Amino acid sequence: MATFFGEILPVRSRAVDDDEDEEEALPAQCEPVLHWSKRVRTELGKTSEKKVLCSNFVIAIGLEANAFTEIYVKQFNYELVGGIFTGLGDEDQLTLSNTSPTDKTCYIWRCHSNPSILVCQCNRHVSPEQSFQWAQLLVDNIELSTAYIAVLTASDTGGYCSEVPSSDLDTPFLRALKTEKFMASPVCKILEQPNMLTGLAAQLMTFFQVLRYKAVIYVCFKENKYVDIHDVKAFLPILNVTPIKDITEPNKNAEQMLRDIMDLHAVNDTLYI
Amino acid sequence: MSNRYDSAITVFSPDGHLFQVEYAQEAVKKGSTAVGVRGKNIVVLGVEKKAVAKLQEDRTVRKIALLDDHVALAFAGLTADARILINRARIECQSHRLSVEDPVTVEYITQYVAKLKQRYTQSNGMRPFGLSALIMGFDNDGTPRLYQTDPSGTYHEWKANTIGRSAKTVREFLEKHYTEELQANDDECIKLTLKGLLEVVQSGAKNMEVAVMRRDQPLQMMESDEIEKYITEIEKEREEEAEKKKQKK
Repeated sequence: MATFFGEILPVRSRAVDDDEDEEEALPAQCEPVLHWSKRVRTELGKTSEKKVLCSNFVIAIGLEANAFTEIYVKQFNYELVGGIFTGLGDEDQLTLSNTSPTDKTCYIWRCHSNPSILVCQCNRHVSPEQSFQWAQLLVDNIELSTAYIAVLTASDTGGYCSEVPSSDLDTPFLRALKTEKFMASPVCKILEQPNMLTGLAAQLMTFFQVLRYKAVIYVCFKENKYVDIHDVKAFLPILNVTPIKDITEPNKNAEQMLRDIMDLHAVNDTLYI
Repeated sequence: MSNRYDSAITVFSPDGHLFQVEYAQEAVKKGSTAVGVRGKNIVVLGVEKKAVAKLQEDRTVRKIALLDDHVALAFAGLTADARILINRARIECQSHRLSVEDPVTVEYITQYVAKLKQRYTQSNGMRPFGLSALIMGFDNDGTPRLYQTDPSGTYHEWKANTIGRSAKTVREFLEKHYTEELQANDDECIKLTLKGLLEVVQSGAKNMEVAVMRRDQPLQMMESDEIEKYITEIEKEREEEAEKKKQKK
């Protein structure tokens, strides 16, 4: 732009602050990686498809869903067969062995007595940028075309839209979404519009719908910031429906295990009492 | 829409909401459950006791506070806000005694607390108190009282009520089980409080705290063995009921 004196200056817009244009550098994120255990690798070596066979697949995302699968779903002998790794954040806590229940991990387990039952427990944060590749890894490495898939996750009621005021919502409560191919009806109401899934859960369901898999997701809407017994118990009704009912049995020690898990994750925060 | 009207407490949204005040009511739900039941000769407050860290002294983590010899308060919500509010209320109780030479009535002190809370919803540069309170006690003439206040400064008198997490579930329970006959029986009032709590709290005396005030007697915090005794009784009653139902079938 030429000024009154004929100088040529770079054009600047006065409408925006120049500083705003500079995008904040996003922290570098590593690509998710899936590792199978040695045993599974040898098994896969023998097949042509290089995919792990699966008839029932439960994916638990978040602490509540993880606690639920740990207590009510994964009670038979399960072996660790793999994990999906998404890189560590600065604040992530991990023990050296990576096996402490409070570690932020994402492992895939397989039932000993019926190797086609898989459970994926994702305890760590998967960023929206990583979730596409995360889901891609899963469908690339596990044969899910005939499997019944259940995704369990929890979400905050703060963002939940409904006609009744949020103070009248009876929390925690469950909502479900299913893919077209999943014929059974979910045990609770379908998630009402305009509410929607976000993040990893949404990405997974998108994949399952596009690939025409039989999948259902249950979202527990909860109020507490920290894991709570009632929020875990909110998932209980799904023990009676497909696909979970076929792979579980009542757990006698459930109450004690629940309490133990709560103690483990207790934050002892006295901001609110 | 909420985005534009929820930054200042003094600005209404076009549909008549004061969002900050409503948000404060959400803070109440972050607190654990507190139940109050009023009988003919007794008022009972029961609260869920939060588990404290192993090395923390649980003496300092209290949901029930004495405002004056004859008035007590249980709150749910922001702990720090509650401390300030309780201090102000205690001072008011003493100041009332000094200037009027009579102890406060329960309604008077409730009104004072509610007034304070309301002021914080109508003034600039302030935020509402993030807590609800159950205020119980006996008036000079010996009438038992139970009041509830919320962050907006509303207050009402109740026969039985609850605040905090899962308040709705417990309130429905109380509505179903509170009867006129029950009022006359002190033990039944205590049991109803515990039963209400048991709807949402893990069983066991270490998970709850109960304060009882009888006419002309000071506030009494129940010992855990005593609570345990009531809980066993309740559980026994429940088992018997279940058995009866089975036999009917």
